[in-house]
Amino acid sequence: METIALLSVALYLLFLIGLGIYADRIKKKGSDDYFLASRGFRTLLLFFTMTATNFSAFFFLGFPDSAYRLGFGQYGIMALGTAFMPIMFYILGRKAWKLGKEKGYTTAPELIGGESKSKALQVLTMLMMVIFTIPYLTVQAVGGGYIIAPLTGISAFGGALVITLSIAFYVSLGGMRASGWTDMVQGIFMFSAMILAGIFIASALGGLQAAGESAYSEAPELFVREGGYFTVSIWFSFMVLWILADPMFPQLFSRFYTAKDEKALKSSMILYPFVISFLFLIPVLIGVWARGAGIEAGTNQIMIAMIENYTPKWLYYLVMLGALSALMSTADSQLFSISTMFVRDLNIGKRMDEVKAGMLITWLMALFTIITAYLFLQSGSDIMSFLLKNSFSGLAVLAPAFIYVLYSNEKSAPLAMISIIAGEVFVVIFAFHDIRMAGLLPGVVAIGISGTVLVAGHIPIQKIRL
Amino acid sequence: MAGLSVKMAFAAGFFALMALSMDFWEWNEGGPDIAGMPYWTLWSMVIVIATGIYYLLFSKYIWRDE
Repeated sequence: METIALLSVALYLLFLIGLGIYADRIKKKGSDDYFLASRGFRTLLLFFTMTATNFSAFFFLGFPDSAYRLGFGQYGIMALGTAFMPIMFYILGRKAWKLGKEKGYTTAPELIGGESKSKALQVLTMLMMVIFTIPYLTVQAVGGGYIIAPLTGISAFGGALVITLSIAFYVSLGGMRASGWTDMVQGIFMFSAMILAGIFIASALGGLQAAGESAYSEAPELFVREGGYFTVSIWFSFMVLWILADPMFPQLFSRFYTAKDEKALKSSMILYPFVISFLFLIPVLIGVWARGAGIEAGTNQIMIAMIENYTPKWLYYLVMLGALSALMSTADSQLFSISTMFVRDLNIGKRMDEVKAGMLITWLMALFTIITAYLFLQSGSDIMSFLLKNSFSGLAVLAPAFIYVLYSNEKSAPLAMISIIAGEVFVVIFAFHDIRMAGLLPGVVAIGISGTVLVAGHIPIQKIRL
Repeated sequence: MAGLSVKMAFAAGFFALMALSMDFWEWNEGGPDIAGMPYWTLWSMVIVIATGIYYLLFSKYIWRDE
């Protein structure tokens, strides 16, 4: 069976690389085509590339694990926040798409820097985005290694190496078009694998009601929120955090520019909640059911243990490839968005051809990711763990500055910079001191500080100009 | 362009959905009520779907192609 697994992984990776080669063949001249696929993604492609980019390895491995420990509340904090988040497609996405088309913006920092006429703000935003995205990219590579290792018999680092090199190959060749196409394939693949896993496991446990009752008899605390992790303040915090953090991920923000028209953006916004409503429920159910089934497994291993125990072997491979799809679709977009920011925001492309610079930096970033993945696997690097733990907050505090620059008539770049710096300082302070205000997540308090700085600073600016 | 009152109504609708999603009135309730899930999980699901319907109406009345 190991040979079949090895062949499945190899064929899957070759297929993705093939898509990258094809995207390279039909590539048009110019950086707009390479970095943004000529701004031509229609509804379905845009929707799949957004969701596949958004749903990382956490969707397959972390989600069931959290539900196993914390219960059904995990569905609420993830699904509700992610359903409310697409309102930002209108607040930020529509503006970014329109201004991007008019002025040629390619990255999020270019937009905020261009609209405020401040290179310093652009570079500051770019640095924050890179700093808080690299740990996530590393974790996707490490996750890939962990998935490939039991399937193929190679080491976790060997798996991370194969995954990262494959991604670098197809993304550097085909650019955004390759990233979008592979995201679509990976999205369809991972959604199908998750649905099949849910159906087979539910059936093996005697149906939804029987599986739920069994879990309730073993762990009734998973069915209530009172007295546990899920307080009303935490519930509210996650909603705010997802709404503001998700669009600040550079790999998601760059997708706003790729929409062919406003219809594609609007349709993606509408589709998001409908798909999430049932898709996020499946990993939560599997996690809760695992308690009733008496499954015990290591961190992030609940899903794997459940499919090993309750599904046929072929589905085990399919779900493992689905998990691989989830993390690869996030990692390729992250890798490419970081490379794009280096080229466009640091003007590296001015000295050489932008497309060539993009390809070169994609490979350099891939090598850097391999090194960080190795260090992470060897020592569980403290710096990486720290950045990873705080990356959502670190990115979310950028959101008030973006809204301010896009909507204010009297925009001040220094004020936007102070807002970002104040927010980041508090993210760091809160990371070292577990200070809770009104039971809110520290990241939400940091967002509040960023926003307050903008409001407090904006009033005197208006008075001075009057 | 939608009038100010329509925009205000939609803004209020969004905040109402957010408020309704925090179902504090059944925070201490729960069991395998429907399809092996607690009622409140299904309530969350209903809010998520309602948000999709909200976006559908939002795109029709507020977000118009320029």
